[in-house]
Amino acid sequence: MKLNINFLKDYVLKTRKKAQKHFFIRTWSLLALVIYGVLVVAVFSLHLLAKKTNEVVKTGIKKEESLIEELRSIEMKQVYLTAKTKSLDEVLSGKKQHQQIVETLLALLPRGVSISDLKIDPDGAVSFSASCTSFRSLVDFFNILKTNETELRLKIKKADISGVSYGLEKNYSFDVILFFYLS
Amino acid sequence: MMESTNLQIEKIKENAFPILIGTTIFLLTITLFRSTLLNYFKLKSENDRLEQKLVVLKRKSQLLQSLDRNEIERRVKKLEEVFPSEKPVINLIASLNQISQQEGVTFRGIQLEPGRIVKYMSEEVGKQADLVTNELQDFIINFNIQGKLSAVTSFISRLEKAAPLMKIESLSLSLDGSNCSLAVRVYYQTLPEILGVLDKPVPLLTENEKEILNEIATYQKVELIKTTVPVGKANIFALP
Repeated sequence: MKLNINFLKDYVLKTRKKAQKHFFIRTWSLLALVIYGVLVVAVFSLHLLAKKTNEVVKTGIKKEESLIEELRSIEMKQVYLTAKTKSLDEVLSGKKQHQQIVETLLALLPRGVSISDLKIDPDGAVSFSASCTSFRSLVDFFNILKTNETELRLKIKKADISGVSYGLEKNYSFDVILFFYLS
Repeated sequence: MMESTNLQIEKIKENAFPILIGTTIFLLTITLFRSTLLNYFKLKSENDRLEQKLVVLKRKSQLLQSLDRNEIERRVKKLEEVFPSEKPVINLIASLNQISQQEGVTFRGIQLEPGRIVKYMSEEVGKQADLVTNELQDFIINFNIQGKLSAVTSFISRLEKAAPLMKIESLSLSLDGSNCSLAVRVYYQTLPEILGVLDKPVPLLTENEKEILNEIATYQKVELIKTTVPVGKANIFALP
């Protein structure tokens, strides 16, 4: 019978385990280094790419800016147009209203009636002082206000006559406040 | 004793590789990697911002190129006629005079306070004096017209579409309708002087604003008065 006695068995086992552990540590360390290296390369590449993109975009911006600078006169005119048209809109609406009121008033005034101190409120109320020398003109004017003719540019909503007097100069004077239906 | 020292050396030798790698990674991280990474993020956010700016600029330049220059020129010219940037004293009188001649009424008794006609710029570059504002401004002109009632009425009607822009504020009419006193408010607005940054979008006209511009295109053109009066002396040393 052959007996095999190995006194180094435990030592060999321990050494093998140790070697395996070292191999494992070295492999993972190396792997970590490789991964880190890849990461560093990636970050550097990305940085370079970003730098390049930055240059390209900056060049593009410069090009567009010079193009816009060349078209600055057109832009200025466009800004001018929009800025002024906004104000013009406000002015035109008020102007049209005043124009319509004045034209309507001139159309409804009978011959022989004079007016003075005509004032137009923003709400469309028109106040003025009127005078005439004949009673006929006075009656005509009142009739016109009463009948409210449809041919007028604006229709009368309400008419207030006050302070009718017959003065020393032999004329009738009165104050009128007219309200129109504004379009 | 000797054996324990050998063991320690052995242990250090065994761990030297991972320690070296760890140290390398640490050193590289604090010296190069960290700063590069930070720079990258900084550049990336800057690039995002710049790319957005580039898109805006491209859109703006394309828009500006697509605008009809002739149409804009024509509109600006007409708008300047109807709604001027400077106080339109001379043009106003010329316009009223022109309408009165066409309608056969006598135009007289002008009273106006034009104030300052020329706008003054501050001497400092880019700064403007207080009086240069971008707001709507106006002044009132009082005048009389005399003629037949129909002519007076026609004159007033024509004020509606007369340049520069004016609004009737007050009116007095005589008994026979032949004499009419008018107070008219005249409007003007100074130019917006500063355009702002380049990437500011171009304002576009709305449909309503286009309609307004089309409407004022029908306004009567003012015949400009050109002063041809000779001033100065050709040779100040010449004998009379």
